[in-house]
Amino acid sequence: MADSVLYLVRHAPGRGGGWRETVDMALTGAAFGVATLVWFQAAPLKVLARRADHADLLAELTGFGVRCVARRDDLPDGLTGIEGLDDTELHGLRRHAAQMVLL
Amino acid sequence: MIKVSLLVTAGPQRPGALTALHTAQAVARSSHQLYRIFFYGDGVHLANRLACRGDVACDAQRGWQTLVAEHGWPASVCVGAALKRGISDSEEARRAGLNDVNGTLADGFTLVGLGDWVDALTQSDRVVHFG
Repeated sequence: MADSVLYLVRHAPGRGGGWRETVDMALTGAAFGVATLVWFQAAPLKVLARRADHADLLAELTGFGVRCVARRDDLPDGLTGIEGLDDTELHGLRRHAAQMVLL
Repeated sequence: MIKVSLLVTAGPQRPGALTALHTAQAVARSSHQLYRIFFYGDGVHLANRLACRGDVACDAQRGWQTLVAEHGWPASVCVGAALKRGISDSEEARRAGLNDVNGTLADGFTLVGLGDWVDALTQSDRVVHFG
């Protein structure tokens, strides 16, 4: 039984409904007590960094206990709420997550 | 025996939709339990009984709809993702004031909330994602 899920997020906010659906899926699991990690890929990070409301968008996740991470080299300056990790740390997250979903 | 659930986010035009179908068939034929098939994102199009593009996408839709109806697989379609894409059952169609009160959801599929995704996650021994 999966007690932790890692979502790899490719969707950026404001483009179609992909971001919203990803966030809804992650939040629902977190609300039911499933340890939830979100790993942002480079594309959504670039869009988030340009948006004035990025803090609110990320707070929606972190406020529910969702851990947000990204590859340190991909993480733009000023995006608070997302941990920058190196490749070894990210590999460890992938190995330890009971379930991984690419959205 | 293990409980297996499938998450299908691949739309009908993507290879993952057919791969997921073949995987569901293989699990159903095996000694393992097909606990839940959860359709999300563009994967909900596979449950649209009125859509047909006349190509491989149509094959995926018809394949899923035939097998779900015939075998009674536990096919759960996220209601939020479905309604955004014009897929509804009669109850949701009536609630939304739509003229087609028959809805567009194919037989055998059920509209559910995201809680069913969490149920699949927490109750299955393995969840396989097809995107």
